Amino acid sequence: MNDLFAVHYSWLFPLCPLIGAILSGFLGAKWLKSQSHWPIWIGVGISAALSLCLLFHTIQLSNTTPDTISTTITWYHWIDIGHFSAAAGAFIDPLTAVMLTVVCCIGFLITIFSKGYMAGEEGYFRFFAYLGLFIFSMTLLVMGNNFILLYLGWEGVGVCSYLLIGYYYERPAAREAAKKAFLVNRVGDFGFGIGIMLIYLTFGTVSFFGAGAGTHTGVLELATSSTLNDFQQHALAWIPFLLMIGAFGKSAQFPLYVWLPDAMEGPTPVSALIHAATMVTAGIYMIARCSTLFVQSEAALLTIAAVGCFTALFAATIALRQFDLKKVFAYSTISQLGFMFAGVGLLAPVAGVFHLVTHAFFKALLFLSSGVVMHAMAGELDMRKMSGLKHVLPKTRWLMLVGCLALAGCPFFSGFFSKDEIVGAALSHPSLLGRIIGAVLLFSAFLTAYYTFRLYFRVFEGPLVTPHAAHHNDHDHSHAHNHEPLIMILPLFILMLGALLAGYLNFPKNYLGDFLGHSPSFQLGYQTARSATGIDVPAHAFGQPGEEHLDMTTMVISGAISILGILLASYYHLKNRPASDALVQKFAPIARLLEGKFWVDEVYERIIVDPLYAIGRAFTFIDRIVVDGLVAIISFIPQLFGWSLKLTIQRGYLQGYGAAMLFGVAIILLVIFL
Amino acid sequence: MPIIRIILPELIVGTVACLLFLFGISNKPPVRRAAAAIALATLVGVFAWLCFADTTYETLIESSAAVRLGAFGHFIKLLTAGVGILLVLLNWPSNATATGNRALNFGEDAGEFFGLMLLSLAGLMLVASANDLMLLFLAIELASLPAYVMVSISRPLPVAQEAGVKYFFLGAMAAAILLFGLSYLYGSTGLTSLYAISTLFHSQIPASPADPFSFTPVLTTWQLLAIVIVIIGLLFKLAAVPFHSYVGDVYEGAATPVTAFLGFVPKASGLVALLKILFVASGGTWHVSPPLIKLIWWLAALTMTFGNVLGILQKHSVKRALAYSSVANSGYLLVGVAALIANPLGYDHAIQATLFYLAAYALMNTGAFAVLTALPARDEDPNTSAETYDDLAGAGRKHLWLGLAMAICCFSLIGLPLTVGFFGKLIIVQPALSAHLTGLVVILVINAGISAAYYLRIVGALFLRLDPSHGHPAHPGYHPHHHPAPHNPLSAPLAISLAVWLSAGSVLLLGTLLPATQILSNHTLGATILDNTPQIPTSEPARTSTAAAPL
Repeated sequence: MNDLFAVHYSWLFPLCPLIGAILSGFLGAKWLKSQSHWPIWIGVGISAALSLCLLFHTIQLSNTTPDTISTTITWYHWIDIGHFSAAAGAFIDPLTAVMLTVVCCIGFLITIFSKGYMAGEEGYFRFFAYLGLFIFSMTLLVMGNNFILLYLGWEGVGVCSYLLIGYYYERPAAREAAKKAFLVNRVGDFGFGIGIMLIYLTFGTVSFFGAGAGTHTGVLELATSSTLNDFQQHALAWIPFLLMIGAFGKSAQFPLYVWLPDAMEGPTPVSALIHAATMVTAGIYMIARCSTLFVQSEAALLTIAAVGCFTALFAATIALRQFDLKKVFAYSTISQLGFMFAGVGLLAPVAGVFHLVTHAFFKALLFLSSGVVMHAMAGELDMRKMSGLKHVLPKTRWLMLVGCLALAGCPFFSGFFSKDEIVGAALSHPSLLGRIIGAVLLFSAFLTAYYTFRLYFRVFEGPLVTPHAAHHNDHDHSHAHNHEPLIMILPLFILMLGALLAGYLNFPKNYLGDFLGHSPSFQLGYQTARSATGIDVPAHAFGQPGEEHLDMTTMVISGAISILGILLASYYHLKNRPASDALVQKFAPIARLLEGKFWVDEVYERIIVDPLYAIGRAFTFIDRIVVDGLVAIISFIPQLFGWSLKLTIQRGYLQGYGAAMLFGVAIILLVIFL
Repeated sequence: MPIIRIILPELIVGTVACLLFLFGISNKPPVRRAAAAIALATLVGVFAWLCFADTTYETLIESSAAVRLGAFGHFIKLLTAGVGILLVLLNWPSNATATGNRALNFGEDAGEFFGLMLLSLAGLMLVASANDLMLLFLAIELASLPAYVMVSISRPLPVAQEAGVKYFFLGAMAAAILLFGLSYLYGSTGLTSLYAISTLFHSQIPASPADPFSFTPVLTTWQLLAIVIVIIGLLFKLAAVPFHSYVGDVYEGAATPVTAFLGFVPKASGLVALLKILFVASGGTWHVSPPLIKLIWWLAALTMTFGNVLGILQKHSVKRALAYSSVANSGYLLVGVAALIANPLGYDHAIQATLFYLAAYALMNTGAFAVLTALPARDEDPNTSAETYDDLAGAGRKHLWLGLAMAICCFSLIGLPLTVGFFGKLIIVQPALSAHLTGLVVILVINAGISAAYYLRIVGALFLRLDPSHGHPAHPGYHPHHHPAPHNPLSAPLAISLAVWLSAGSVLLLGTLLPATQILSNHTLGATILDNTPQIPTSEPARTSTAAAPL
């Protein structure tokens, strides 16, 4: 496959957005100004076109061969220190192709949308430069052929996320949110970094597949070797947990999820691109890529599944009582990421990646639609202050409806198929825990359907109520035209098509699964899982050829549950709104608990932040008194010594110097010869 | 004529020097400028020639001749010519009448001044080729004597005359000591050829079956006494303790560009001669008697410490602080020498480190003095250059580029990363550690910390202190509407700016661009074979290929 254009010139993927970022970053302030989006449009556009090219060619290839499809490309020798070497290069296989398509294409649509959304903002060029930098880092993350490059991209997207959350840096809340995101991610990245170091220590390389899949020179293949020594086996028990910490941080899983809701302080396109569609899925990508490392440790898998499942439920409950549109979607993202983790943890990485893809479409659609709402309502996002917006934003209403149906898992929309696959994998898991997880996930799916349509019915249906500020504006112009400019609606329309149709990627046959199954990560993961866990892993969960079966029971159950949730929401929030208030009155303590988000932030503040501050104050005291005092004393000694020299020898008399010299000669001779 | 080829660089430089003395007859400014230009052209030519000349000299000449040259001497000559270019640029007569520049005023004696300078550089080159006691002594004095005169004529101030006189008298005394030692060496061996003496000492290596790794020649007391006294005599050139006391007065009294000259040429001649004498004393094996190791150890420790504590006390004169800094740097160089003789088997890394540090020191020291030359003392009086901390106050913000160049040089002298000084200290510590001189390394590191105090004081004065001529409304000469014209970063004369940029730029380049650092360290590694091929006995086990070559 090396002769494919997109593979041969794979360095274009990161380079084009980077050049765009450099151009708009350095030329934007003075020259490009309101045209700063062009370098990014062109740069990301090239990458998006290339990614589609790569995807279609790889699909063609996968239809003609049953073997794995992969290639390792070295761009240049990056680091060579002693025995350590890391190349800057790409590893391209179906998983990379899918991830690149998601990142570049959705990224491209969002940069288009941003032109309309960000128009006239202070620091317009800065926004686009960061966006380009983000796509650059994200492409490196998904296509790097070793852990160091993965880590570089991992940290790069973290920095871009920090910069973009803090985009409105005059606002204290934005500054705090950016800091929080950065610091919480530090915790995860610390584990991730140690994991990579341990990998290097254990295998002596950081490359995924070394010289190529099948050569047994990369970490992912060496880890499956049967001749591991004691140290390597012990390390293999630890590595998944360390990597997992990084994934939990980046993908906002319990207990490191707290940064994601606050990250909504950033501009809405950022929330859509970084905090819903791409960056937060890096953890899923990493686990899918390294499945050979993970499937060897049952404990690690179950931890992932349990944490994912708990997060899915936990975040869904919080979302029930949020009033800010973006906050609801933020918790929903955390919850959906939990689904994906449960999927990969229950040995169904295809389902996890499938959900990743559909989620990228419909969550980006939902965020951008709420961006349109926010744009129209002059920045207001409180759903208690708005109602019946379908009269003001007719197009957005339909876009939002499709997004909500997909998120709610309504049958025949994309979210339905992918969520169903995860639930199905859980319910068919042989362990009891697997089935419990399946049940919890079903319940979370029900909650998801409910809170999604609570939002939809509250905001778009019912009598028209708009926040005062926006209402005032409406009197002047033909509002509908103003609020939904084409440049914002067009990308949304494409995303809507994705949200409608992405489910059929893997239904009724496992098209996506078969495609992903050609990735060496999945194939090796499957073989390792079968030999290591002893569980009869279904072949289709790893996209491997085998009998396929459609689990109609699960489908019917999850479809019914989703419709039930929608109906319940329509009763409480469309037909009989006072009833929901009465319900809240009745369960006031629970409502308060949910509105307070289980007070997790406050608990962290008490048990982590405050003690750290106390330690910091103690250290400051020690530094001031003890260390500075010591330094003062130490700095006094050479001065004293110098003064004694100055007063005895260095007085400027020639004869004194001469005498000192002869004295020195005498001493040297005495010391040596006596 | 192989001998001519060996000493061709110093012959050319020396001949041009003699020609330049004739220029002194004329008192026209263009002639004076021509003198400087000819000196510069000569050095550039020699430098370029040495860059491309091949270094296979050994086969050309029998070992007992008065001069011999190997890669070591070749490197020293190359370095001399290179630093010489910087020094000529720094001493450029750039004022209207070509009688000097802001820092320097040699009146109408440009021909003599540059003639002396070239003569001294030729002397240093000759030290590198000398293979005979007599020639070695004459070469050292050829490098030193012009320097005495240069200090005196560098500016018509009593302080310069005083410095010249002090330098001359103390230098004469040191020369006497050196000559005394050399006469003992001749008396106790009956030989003057360094090669022959080293062969003689080599024959004094006892065959000791008990310790087959010992190649230390057993010297008679007279021979050892001679070696020790010669080393003491050389300490004056190195400005090492206890012969460091002249440094403060002389460096401060001389004009700043001449101070930069003093910081390199005599020191390099002392170091080269010291290495040659130690090589001879070890019979060509680098194994010297234990007392000598101890002597160098103590000299290194005391020189570093004395230099730095005296430097930290200089709160008025920057030149004096930098003078003591050069003492401290001699100490660092001696650490390399100590590592060399304490672990003879790793001699190549130790010599490489010493030479690398010498080159690094030459660049950063010249750079620091070049900035001092370029900075005016006060805006009201553009005819004097900065000498004190008060002169520097706030100057870094006004002359941003000069300030940055000074900061680069000071950071390099401290040994901060991204400068050549960092690598200099790094690769001098490595052989010292493998020679188990841990104590000396600890002292070096502590000294680097102490030295940071006064180097940072310079940077601090440049950037953090307020310019005393501004911001004091009560100042008698203060005119609220007087704003000095904004300074062109190249307000200093072109030649001096060029010297600043060449030295500060190479300090930065050699510290950040690893390939460039590698080129320099390869050069120094190639120069580790002294002119006399090491006569390591054939029974010596193959040197273990331990640490990879530094850098």
